[in-house]
Amino acid sequence: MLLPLLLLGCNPWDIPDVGSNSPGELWDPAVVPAKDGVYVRLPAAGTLVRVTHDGAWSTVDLDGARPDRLFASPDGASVFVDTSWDVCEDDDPAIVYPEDCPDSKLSTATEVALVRDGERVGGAALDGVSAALDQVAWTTDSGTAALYLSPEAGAEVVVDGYLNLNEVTFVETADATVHRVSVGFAPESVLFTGDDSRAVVLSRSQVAVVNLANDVDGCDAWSVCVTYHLTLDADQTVTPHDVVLVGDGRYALVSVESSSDVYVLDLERESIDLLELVAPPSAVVDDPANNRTVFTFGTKPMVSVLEHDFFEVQDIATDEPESAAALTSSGVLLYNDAIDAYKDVLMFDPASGDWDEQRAENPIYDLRAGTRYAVANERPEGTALSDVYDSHYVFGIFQLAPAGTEGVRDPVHLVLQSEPVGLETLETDSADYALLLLSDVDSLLKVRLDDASATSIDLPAAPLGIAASPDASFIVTGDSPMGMVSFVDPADDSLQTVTGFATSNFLGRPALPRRAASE
Amino acid sequence: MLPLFFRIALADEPAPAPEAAPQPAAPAPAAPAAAPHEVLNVDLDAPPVQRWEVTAELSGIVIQDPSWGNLTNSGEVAWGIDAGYHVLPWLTPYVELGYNSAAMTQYGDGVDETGAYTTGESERQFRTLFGQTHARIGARATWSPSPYFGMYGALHLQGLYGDLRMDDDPDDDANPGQLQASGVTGGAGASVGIQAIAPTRSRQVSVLFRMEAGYAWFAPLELGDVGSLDPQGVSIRTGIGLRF
Repeated sequence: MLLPLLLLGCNPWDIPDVGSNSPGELWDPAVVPAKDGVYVRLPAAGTLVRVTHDGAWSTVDLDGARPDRLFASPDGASVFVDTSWDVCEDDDPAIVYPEDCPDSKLSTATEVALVRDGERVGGAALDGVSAALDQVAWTTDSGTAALYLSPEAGAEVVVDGYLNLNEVTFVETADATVHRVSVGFAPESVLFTGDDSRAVVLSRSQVAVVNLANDVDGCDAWSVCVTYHLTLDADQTVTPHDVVLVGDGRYALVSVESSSDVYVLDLERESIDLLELVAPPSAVVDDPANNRTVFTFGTKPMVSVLEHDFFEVQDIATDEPESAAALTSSGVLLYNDAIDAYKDVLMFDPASGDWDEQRAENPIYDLRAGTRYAVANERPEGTALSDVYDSHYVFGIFQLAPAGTEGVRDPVHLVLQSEPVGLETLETDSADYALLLLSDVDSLLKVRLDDASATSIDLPAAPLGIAASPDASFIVTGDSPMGMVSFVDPADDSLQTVTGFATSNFLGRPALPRRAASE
Repeated sequence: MLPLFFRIALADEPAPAPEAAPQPAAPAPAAPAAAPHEVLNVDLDAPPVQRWEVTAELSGIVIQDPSWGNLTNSGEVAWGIDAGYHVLPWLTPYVELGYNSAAMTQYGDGVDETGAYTTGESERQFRTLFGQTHARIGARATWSPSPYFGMYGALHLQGLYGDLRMDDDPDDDANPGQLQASGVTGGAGASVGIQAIAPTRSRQVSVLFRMEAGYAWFAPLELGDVGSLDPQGVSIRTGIGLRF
């Protein structure tokens, strides 16, 4: 009886290790925020947990399958989970664990589940939906999702049985109803019209319009109403590069890979027109307020504006090529994130063709445009002998105002201690903020954009990333081996940290699931 | 209370005569002369009966559950104290209490910023501390062909309390990366063993050495959300102590 009593007075941790253990990756920091919490994959345990604000966590029942990939809906109400599990063809009851099964009889099965409120919708996986589909497009109300395979997918795709690349899988998230629609060869992009009544699917050399839900003009629901052939030559392949819906969704503008051609598809009259630009566009932005579409070119100092009444193109010269564009309430913000030598940031008015120029200190690689300000992460571009800006990461703050506005503040550039690992923006009635995470810095910088002042919110560990939560808070993941998620409320800078969830089922030894069903 | 054989030796003392003994009515017929009392030969060379025994024990269970490897490389090895009492020369009920703690460093493998898989001693690590307190109550039945050697079989009931701690910074009492889980389980065990007894010069105390092997059955040890452990397996025990 004395031994435990004697040990009570000692620090229990002051004993040498009897050894070490490498359990594997306990948790994936690429968490997925949702309305009901944060979903986290635990690769070593093969489980999915949901962490909530109150500090609790629970395991999502996937019927023995392990989560491989997560996609959240824009409104945060639903999460698609690609799952897989080991299957042994030998029904011997003595075979309990995957290692017990002969290698020649061991295979992997996959499925997709729709999770809401910590449970699978319908209590089971989605019927017949392949987990190889790695792209998801959502309607504006998040009521319908389109799943398809990325055109860049290659040999890493795991095909369970067979995979039909000629179709798009639509899922109604309310009840997990699945609709498979054949649209053409290899869908490469899917857009939904503004009223969520139709989906525009770009496939190789074809564009298909799919009716959703309600019958329209004699076209059945969940079927292709019209198909546009981008070429009549079977030997010629037209690969769409980008697509935008303009004119309240009446027209689809399709740019083509490595081509200056732009297809104008009239979705109501079912007609095709072809425009030619000065070069292959690098970015396409629609400005509904001005009834115009703006094209930028990464290698040409020029911007093209397409008006939607007569579809005439106006080319406007700029000082530098602009590879990217973002629509703001003040106009179209143009910048270059492809070539380090170009640092102009233009506020462009598509109606007048005028633009105001600002300039970044360093090359921009991540820009977020809000209502009143745009913020950008800029990477260093010099050596140790360069000036302060060139040798550090820089955070740029650009005030947004329509072209021609007087008194616009010059850009403010903050020199950062280390590389940013996360950036989110917050707009309130009183002020706008940027939430910035820096590598190896245990604090969250809250930068007020109107005066560039910053406050620090101490974090319990070095941050790994930040994401906006559907409930207007922010999720910060911390570098903790046992899992760490902090819920940040920017209204009062409060922090609620939850740790330890990565140890869920730490001692578990996953057995072969669903053995009874396979017998 | 004196041992029994001492009480036999003291029985020669005459009982005190009553104060008023009645006179016999008639002389009793002559009885043959009573045989003299036999002198009891007390063998002073026999060792005194030693009923108590206390030993320091080192015990272990060869755990079959691979999950134990996540917490300790030494199975369920514990130091303890065993105390028994001979209710009969061959039957000894006993109780035992033991404890063991094991610490390990857990290396969290993952992917680096380039997506490459990292292995081995990564920076993302934490420590685990697993403490096990076990208690047993049972009985040994011993066959001793000689006063110095015996063989026995034992049956016992046992309980195990497991306490698991995880901490990514044990030097900081206030760090958020701390977690604790505990559980209790019970079971039974059976074993066979041998023992050797070496008397000392005082003859009041003997040195006892014991070694046994058997099997321990346990229900799973549930440690909450962390999981469960199966602590049963072949048991091995050795001990050294005193008998008095």
